[in-house]
Amino acid sequence: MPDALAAHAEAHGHSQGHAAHHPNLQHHFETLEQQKEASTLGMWIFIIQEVMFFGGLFTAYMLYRIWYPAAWSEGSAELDIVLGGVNTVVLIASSLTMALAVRAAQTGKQKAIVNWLIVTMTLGLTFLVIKGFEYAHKWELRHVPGLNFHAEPGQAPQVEIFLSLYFALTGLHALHMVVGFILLAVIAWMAHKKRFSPEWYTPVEMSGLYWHFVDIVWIFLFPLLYLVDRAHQVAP
Amino acid sequence: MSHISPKSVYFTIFGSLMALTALTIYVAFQHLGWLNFPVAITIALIKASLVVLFFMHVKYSSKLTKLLVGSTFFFLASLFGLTMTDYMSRSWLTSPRGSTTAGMLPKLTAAELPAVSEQALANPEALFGATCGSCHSFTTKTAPTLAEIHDLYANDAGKVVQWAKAPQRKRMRFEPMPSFAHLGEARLKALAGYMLQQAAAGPPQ
Repeated sequence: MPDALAAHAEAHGHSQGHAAHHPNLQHHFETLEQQKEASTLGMWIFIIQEVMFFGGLFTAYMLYRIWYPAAWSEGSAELDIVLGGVNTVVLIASSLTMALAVRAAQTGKQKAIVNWLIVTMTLGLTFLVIKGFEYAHKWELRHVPGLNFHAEPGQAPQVEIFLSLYFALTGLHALHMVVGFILLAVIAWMAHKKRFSPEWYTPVEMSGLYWHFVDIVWIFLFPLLYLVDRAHQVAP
Repeated sequence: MSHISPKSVYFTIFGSLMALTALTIYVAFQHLGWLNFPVAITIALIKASLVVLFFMHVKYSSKLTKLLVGSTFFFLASLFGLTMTDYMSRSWLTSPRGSTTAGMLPKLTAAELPAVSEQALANPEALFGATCGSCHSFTTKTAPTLAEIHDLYANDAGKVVQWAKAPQRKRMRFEPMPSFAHLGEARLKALAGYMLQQAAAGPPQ
């Protein structure tokens, strides 16, 4: 439909057709910078609602922690600090490699984008595998509320509430990791196809924001779940 | 073109995040009492800020983006603040005598205690109001109601006295009850009798 195309080009006021602007610039934006600013704001609004989503669970956590401090102390002692700590290191390292992937996109290093994204995904997978081992161990101990929970003798009964929140928070966090992993796989594929340039790499940067957000959630989960009242376990 | 941080910035931030992770584990094993929790949260907030500012490039973003990111704290503070003020103050409102929960109950000094005379013990209404009655009524939600106490001890004032001297904690939803042994046997007996009598009579119409 050459007529329609011509009319389209006319309507946008560029007589040279589409050659006049960057192929990734949408028509309702003036410049690539403006377009990127809009994407960034949109992504942050999404992240804020994600913060509120986890915030509801954190509120439940706070309330029950105030009501049942003994259960929180006993429940936290059931968790493995070494595995939780290693996962913290793994996830923060994946944030570093994600930041380096975005930097590679900014500097136009096509191969480096793909490589850093693959490293990031590998670290994400490592996190999930370690988390899987932790869950499996909880299952063996019959510490999974709703499925096979069995209170240890002498334990505060509300340990079950602590573990429910542990599974809800870490489970939803792990789900976000899985979504992030798929997202990065798509971005890595696009980078492999050389879709990005220093002028336009918005999808890389936005996926990065999402990945860092998931990292931040874990930065709070680690002390809130694994490090409650640990001083109790060592002599004063 | 947006700001491009040198690689060294990212490695420095990563190093700081690792150091702070080690610090939060170290601090968790120190005996800081109630401070353990705020310290852990503060370290997590610093770590999150480093990620937001440098890894997420907010330090180099537009003012609008910064405002948006900052608003997260406002929304979260509303969520936590409004919920907590509600939950934490519920027991105050349901206490018949205002902001009295068991833990905050003022102990009557020896001078404030009515004398152990037959007349005073025959009508312990005022003493009851200043002690048992500040938590136990027919409508209270912070302690077992009078009806509940009646069901348990209708004909056994001695058990009530025993409990008041050395209270245990059966129901975790209530604050622990403090001991009233300092009132002395005679007053406690009078109070227990009065309490069960009131409980048997039922709530005022």
